[in-house]
Amino acid sequence: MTKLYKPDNSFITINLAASAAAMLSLALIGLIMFVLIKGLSYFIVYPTVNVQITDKHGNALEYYAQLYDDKQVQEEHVLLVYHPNIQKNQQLFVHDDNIIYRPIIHPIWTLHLNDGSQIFASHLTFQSSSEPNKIERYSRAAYSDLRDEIYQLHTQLRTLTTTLIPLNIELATFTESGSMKDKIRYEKTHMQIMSLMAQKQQLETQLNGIQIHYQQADGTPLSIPLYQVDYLIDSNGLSWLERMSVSALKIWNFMSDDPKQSNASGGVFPALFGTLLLVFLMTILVMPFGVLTALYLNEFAPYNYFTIILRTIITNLAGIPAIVYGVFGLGLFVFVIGTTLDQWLYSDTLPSPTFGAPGLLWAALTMALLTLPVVIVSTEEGLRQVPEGLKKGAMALGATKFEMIIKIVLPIASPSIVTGGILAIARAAGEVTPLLLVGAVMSAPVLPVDNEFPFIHLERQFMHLGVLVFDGVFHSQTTIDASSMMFATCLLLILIVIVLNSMASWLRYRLKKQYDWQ
Amino acid sequence: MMGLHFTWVLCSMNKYQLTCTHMKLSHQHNKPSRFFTDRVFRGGVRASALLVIMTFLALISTLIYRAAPILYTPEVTFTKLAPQQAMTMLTDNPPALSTMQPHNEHLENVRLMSNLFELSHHDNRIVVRQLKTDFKISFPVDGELMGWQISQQPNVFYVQIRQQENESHILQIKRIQLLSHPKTGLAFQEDLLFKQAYQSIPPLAVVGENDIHNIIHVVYSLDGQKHYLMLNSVTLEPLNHQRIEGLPKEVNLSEVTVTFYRNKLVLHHDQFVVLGEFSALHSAITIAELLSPQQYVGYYDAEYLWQTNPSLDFQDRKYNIMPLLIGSAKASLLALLVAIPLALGSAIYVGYFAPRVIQRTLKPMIEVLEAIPSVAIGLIAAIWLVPLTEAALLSFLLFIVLLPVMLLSAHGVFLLAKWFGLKHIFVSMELGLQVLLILALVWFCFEGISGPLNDMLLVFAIDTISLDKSTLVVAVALGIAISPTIFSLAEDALSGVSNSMIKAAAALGATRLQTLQYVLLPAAAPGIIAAVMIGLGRAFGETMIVLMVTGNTPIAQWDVFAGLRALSANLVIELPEANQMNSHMTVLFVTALLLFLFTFVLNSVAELIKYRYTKSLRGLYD
Repeated sequence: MTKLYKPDNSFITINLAASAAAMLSLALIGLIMFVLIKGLSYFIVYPTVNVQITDKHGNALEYYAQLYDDKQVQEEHVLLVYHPNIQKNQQLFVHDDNIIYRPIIHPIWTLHLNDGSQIFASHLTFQSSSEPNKIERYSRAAYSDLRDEIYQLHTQLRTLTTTLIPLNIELATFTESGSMKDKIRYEKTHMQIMSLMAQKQQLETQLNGIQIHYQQADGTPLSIPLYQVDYLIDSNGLSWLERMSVSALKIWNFMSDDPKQSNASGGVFPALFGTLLLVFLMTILVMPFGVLTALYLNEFAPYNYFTIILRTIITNLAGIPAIVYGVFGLGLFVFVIGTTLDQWLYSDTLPSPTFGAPGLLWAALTMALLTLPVVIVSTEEGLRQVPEGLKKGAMALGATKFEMIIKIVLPIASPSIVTGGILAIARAAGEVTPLLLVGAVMSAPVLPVDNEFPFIHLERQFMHLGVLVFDGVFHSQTTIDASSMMFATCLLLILIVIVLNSMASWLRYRLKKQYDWQ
Repeated sequence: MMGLHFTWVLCSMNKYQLTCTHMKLSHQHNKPSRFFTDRVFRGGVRASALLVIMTFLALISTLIYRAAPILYTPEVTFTKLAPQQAMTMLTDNPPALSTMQPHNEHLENVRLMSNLFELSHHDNRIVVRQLKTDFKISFPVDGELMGWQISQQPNVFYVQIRQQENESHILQIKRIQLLSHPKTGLAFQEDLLFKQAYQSIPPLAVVGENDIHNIIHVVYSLDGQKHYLMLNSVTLEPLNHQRIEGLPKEVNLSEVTVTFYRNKLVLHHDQFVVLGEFSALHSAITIAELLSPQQYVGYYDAEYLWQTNPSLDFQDRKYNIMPLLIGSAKASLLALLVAIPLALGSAIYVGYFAPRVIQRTLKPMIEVLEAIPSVAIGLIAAIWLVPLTEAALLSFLLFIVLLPVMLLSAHGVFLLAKWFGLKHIFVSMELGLQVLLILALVWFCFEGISGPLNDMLLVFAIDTISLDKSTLVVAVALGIAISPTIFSLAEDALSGVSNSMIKAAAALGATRLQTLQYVLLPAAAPGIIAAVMIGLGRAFGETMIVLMVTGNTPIAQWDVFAGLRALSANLVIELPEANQMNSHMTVLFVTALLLFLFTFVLNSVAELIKYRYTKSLRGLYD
């Protein structure tokens, strides 16, 4: 193309245009790099240090701490320490002058607790419940033995609990009926329960008896039950490979754990699950209607006002802000349809609403409406690729329109239908705004799917990756750990969306190539 | 034909291979179910198309239905109750908001709500004395003072005034506020609630207020006939005015106890009870209250205010949507200011100048940017960009200023290179060059010179801390978020221009720049304008970025360094907590309807422009 023209001095114009393009692409690259770096820092194993810090009153304090290699603020050291009295981690920003790094003589262990906090400690020793007087120094064998013991105790406890539940229910029904005939059986059950409870208590004491003793930096000996510890690592003494495996473990925990410490640590499993379930329901709802409407527009629609109105509506649906869909979902689905359903079906639980409150079903419906134009436009694009001759041929051979569409049109257009579905999923996974109004919450007590009939609880509220990110920012969790968890969540969301979009554009590219000869 | 055994050929349309599938249909083509299925299918297709239209209509009608109370006013129905009925009703009801009897004694030593003032009355003047300081201020009343009543709001009371005008009497009811004035210390502010002429029997009135709706109720008797009047407490527009049926003419209003509940009003007399039931109180809101500046109780001037949860009961709820409209307009216009050069520049570069390789990589890249969830952009803007501008506002501004300067200097280098015959280095390397230059500029502004810049701030004692910089960040973040949309539409418009036109221009001896200026841009202009309009719609409706980055303070100022709250963000903040039967909900749905209408109009106009443009192009070049 360049050769086509007379030489000119269009340098400044071209560069102006090029700099705009450069800025947009730099924005994209910068954005992704930023999220990548910040998000991955959640999975990094940070070194532990032994420091002496002078606080603002001039007291010298000894700490074992985790050192974030984060030079965001100049001449400030960012440390994570554990306070045993409040049982929480705290982030410290210490100025260069107020900190002295001590040599590390004993290995500093990081105990990752089940509640999401981390204890930094040295001189680990174990106390077994069977021999309370015997104190054992840390060794890998001893640790794994105790772990096995804890696992067995946990299994026993679980079986005990499962046997206890039906007995307790039985007892409750006896108490309700209150007849004398049941009295003997009542006594019997009661005795049974009491003995089981005693067993349970014994197991619990046993479990609590397995203790891990440790020392803080100032030499204070402390201990906690070992079952509270998820895993422990000596982050300074890890080899490169072990480091990677710990990071992999962290990634696994991130994907499979519940959020802990008010969404500042732990994992995002409920949010991931909620997102996927929402997207799944949305796809089931949107695909038939989207494809059928596209078929109507492409195969059936006569050129009349109805079609023109339909086309105008579809282009306009694509342009309506997402928040308006949310408002609509609340105004129609929740306030009108949900409340009516409650009056018809769940009148016994009123006034506490079942479907008359934001929930999964309404969120899925709203999202389906939001993504409808995406599916229609993409499907239509594919339908237009189907050669007219093939369709006419099928009709000429005596096929009904249904057979023609099922056997000729849909197979040929299927990649673009799938593309439409993928694009819809990507859009729905990334869109947060309407969800804030129709059912997504920052922490849901239960998953929308469980083993109780009817298994999928469409009226329940759910968690969503995007909502988690939004919530993290909106409620200003700006500690490094919390924000890096937000970035990790954000990274996951962006990955899902980009992978889906790339899949869609790859499919579309293949489709285009396939029918290029037209 | 029906009896024929026929073969159906389905060819998968591949360039190189022709797969043929033979399907024997003879065994099924006689089944009537074939045609039945076909009919069902046709019905299903039509039904789904109809469903799309129905859904859209449902969307509009839901918004309109919920926003419609803005147009109508509350209803009141009065019924006379039998004594037993009245007794049960009175005992069953929750505590009333206020129970009142009309007062017709004169103002003497009345303490106002805040216990700070004392009212008295002589020589047709109301005198207010501040108890602490003994400071007095008096206020003339043009007429005879008939009665007074204290409002639930602090420093507010209602007075009844009788005027004599040429043989006829006029009753006036006024709301009087005491305001602390910066100069005089105390000031009066009077508002006329209503004015009515009467003939003989002295009138009487009772005033009541609603604690969650902006409503003032007035029950008054004029020539023996009892009336009910409902007013909007902010604009003082009459909402409902009717005669109370069932109250005998001879009963004096002073013998009646008037009790105001939230949704009803009871007139209680020894012999009878009249019940007034309000319906649709959430429609007490009026258009004037939403759009024009209002003088709220406690304020000096008419102001645009959005404050839906007042700190005190019985205080006006301030539902003026102008701050939100201004906030949305400010954010979206600033974003457009960022997005237009970025998006159009990229579109021109990618669609026209760039070599094919760069075209093929840049276009999908920018499409990926379009797909990135806005919550991610909001996260980065809120956690990284906001603190950055806090620390380095000048660097930020310097970057914007230096960008054109840098381009000019690059041009100088280019001329120099041309002089030395090294022009080929620059040709078709623009993008790489620009990337390097921008990175260098970013480094220079934010690292290289940030120290001296901050020193300069200290020297000139410029206070940048108190400025709200989040609007700038919103402009950048929102601008980046919407530019891919504008980019892809504008790029479509540019590449839609027929290639033969460009070739013809080249054949006529036009340079690339001339082709762009005289052929490409004029031909693609409607498409580009449509793209910008759709981008504006996106920015106006975008919620997450605005919500996460700004402080969400509803301020009716066009100042760039003042905070803002956008319409869309406001919906997310307030809708989950709004009560269904409250005017708050009505107002929120009005804002949603406005958002919808704005984007609807923008999109429709953009569609129309595009349609006209393709039509005219077809007419020209086919």
